[in-house]
Amino acid sequence: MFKSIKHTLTSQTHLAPLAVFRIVFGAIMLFSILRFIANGWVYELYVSPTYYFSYYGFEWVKPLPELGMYFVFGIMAISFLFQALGLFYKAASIVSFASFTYVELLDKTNYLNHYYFVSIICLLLIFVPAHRYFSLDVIRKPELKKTHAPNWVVLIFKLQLLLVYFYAGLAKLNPDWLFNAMPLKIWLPSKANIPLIGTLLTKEWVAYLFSWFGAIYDLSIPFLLLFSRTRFFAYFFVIAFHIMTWLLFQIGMFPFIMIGATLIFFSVDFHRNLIYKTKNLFAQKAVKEEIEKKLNYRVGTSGIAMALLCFHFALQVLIPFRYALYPGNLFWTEQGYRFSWRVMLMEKAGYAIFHATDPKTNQTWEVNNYDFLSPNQEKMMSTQPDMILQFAHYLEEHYQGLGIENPKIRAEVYVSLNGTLSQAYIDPTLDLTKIKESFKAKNWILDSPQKQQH
Amino acid sequence: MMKKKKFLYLLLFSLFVIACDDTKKEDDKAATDMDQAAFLANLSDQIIVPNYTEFKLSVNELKLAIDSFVLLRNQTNLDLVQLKLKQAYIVWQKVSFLEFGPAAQIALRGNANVYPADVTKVESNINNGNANLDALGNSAAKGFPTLDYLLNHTSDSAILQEFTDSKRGDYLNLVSNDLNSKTNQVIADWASYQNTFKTSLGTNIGSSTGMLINALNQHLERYFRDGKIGIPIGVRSSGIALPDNSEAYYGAYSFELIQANFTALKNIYHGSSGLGLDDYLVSAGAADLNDIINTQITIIESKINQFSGTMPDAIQNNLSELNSTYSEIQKLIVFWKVDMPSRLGVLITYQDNDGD
Repeated sequence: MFKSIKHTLTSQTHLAPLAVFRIVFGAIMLFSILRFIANGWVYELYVSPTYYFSYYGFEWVKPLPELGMYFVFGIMAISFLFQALGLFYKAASIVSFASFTYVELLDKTNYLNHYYFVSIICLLLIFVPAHRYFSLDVIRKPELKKTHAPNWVVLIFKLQLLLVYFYAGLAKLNPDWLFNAMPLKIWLPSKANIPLIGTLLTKEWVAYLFSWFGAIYDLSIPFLLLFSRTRFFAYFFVIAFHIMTWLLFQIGMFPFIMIGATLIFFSVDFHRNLIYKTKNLFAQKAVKEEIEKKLNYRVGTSGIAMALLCFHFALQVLIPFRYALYPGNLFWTEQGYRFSWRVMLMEKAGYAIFHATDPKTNQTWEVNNYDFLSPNQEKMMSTQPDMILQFAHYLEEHYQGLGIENPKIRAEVYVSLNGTLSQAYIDPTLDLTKIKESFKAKNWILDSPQKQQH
Repeated sequence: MMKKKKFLYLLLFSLFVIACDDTKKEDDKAATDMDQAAFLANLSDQIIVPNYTEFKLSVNELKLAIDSFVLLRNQTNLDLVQLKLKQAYIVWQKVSFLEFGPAAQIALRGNANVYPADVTKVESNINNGNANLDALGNSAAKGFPTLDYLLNHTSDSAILQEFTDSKRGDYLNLVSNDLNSKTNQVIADWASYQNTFKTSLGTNIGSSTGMLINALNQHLERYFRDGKIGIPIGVRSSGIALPDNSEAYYGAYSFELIQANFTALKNIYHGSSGLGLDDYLVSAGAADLNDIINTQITIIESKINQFSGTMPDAIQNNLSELNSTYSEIQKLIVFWKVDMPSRLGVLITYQDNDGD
């Protein structure tokens, strides 16, 4: 058993799929970053805010001044371009991973599952020889060229994609999604203006169909992609599914990243053919035959790489289950919600009113959230307890800076989840300055409207 | 070859699925059968455009009154101009919350109604002459608050005396013309925007429903709750009341403006007598929420209607009622900003961004 796994991982495979993956991923990311800059989001998200919601343990990651932030995004765009071209690939991959992840760590307001996915792919790309075939590096230094490498360099991407889809599907197996068609029952009718299918979207059974189809799709698609017999059939659904979500929801580049990334499931022949045809576009003389050059990793490096990869995938498997360590309804408390491929799962909105008290004068006043937070930050903060706590601590510091000793900060928060009437979210009498952030359960979150446990 | 055939079957199958369901439409309970186009047409044709037209007329009448007052300064003309100012200020309350589309383009609310007026700035502009009202520093030296200051800040005889300085009359004209031309611009733009508004369906960012709900919430939160009540009663200043920050401080009819504004907000929620957000909620299966909102609207109405004097008097004598009015508005904000968009699938954000 172990031997056969080892054999699968280390037997040689052609590099064409990895080269295509590198090009497609780099190109989509380049476009994605340019779009981000062109939309003015660098300024809006990373220059104009006065406060940033750091990740626990990453408070030391700070934004640069305006020019610096634009510089980071410029470098990021260039590194994805170089990655796609396979030019100075290793350096480009390290830079793209570092710059992208740096930006993502700045503010959890902007957390998106697909940004997390991009960071992971960037990290994995650093460790694979995606530049040793069909790249400018090979033209620059012909001795770099290899046609084959151990199987794992391709398999890790398939495994990562499998985990993303499968966990996204697992997350959909909750009563509200399956038996109430929530939140699609709210979301779909609001798209009734879409041509052709618009009127259909207002039907309740369509919301159920979409919910069940979505769950089955996520759970089965990676496996259907794995087998050659079902692959084309599956890829048709990949395109249909992601284009549909792109039309219906505001989810940016995510559909295209997935449509591009899942190409890696296709066969070596498919990718070699793709490369061959691409070459033919530029030069007639391209030949299909090539001399095999295998890349044999030195055992030592390979051992370390293997250990790191095992560690990475162990984390990937375990992290989405950490929610089970916390009490209460996951969707309500969001303890252990992020980094788990829970995509488009709930309709949640909230409103938070902070009350500050000067214990010396016993004066209490209301905080103007929009004096400190961008609309997006305020919106995200209002439904996520860790951000509510962070903001309370920021306010404590702010009022201390104004000369108020030991200000008390309380928050009155109302949250609506999947269309239930908004309810009090946390204990409004609690002085949040007395509570320290930690991985411990936040017992100051009030009970959820539905008792359902995911 | 095999693969192509499979593709074909798939295509046929999906076409079949799509074609199939048209036949049995009647059986299915629609999650919402709201006619969004009719809803938007009702709002724009029956409420928004008529309100703007009324506002344009009232601003124009105010301008005419100002023109004659500057030409002939006497008590009759002063009475008339004060009356026309009050009328226009009240009609403004019917359009102030429509800060999207043409109004947002020109920042009408920022041009027409930043209060309190910066009195020092106004006086220095008068003395220096030739003020550029579009300059950033002049946002509190123009519009209704400045007109209120110039025409109401002291006794009538003293005001008539002040206007013997022709520079003061020039500035009054300048402010009046600025308000008039910006208003005309917004109304002219609405003529072409009206169709865009009616046809931008859906609930995404940029859709008319999305923009309207966002604009209503932003107004209710910042310009109604905070601007008109919260800030004067000191909610934002550690409990220290700021009565001179109230709207129409000199004219002393803050409560009439508050009542007019809330009536207009209520009217657009109800779609006047046609399709409004209330019908939209009911059709989305949220009749319960609509009932709660209507109850809350009634509570707020009875709260704001009990005040008749000036805001400073109310702060002095009835602060607890003002505080409780504030809390009741707060409750409506939660229903409007959290529950209503949630039930309708509208994205609440004043910013454009991706989600997942």
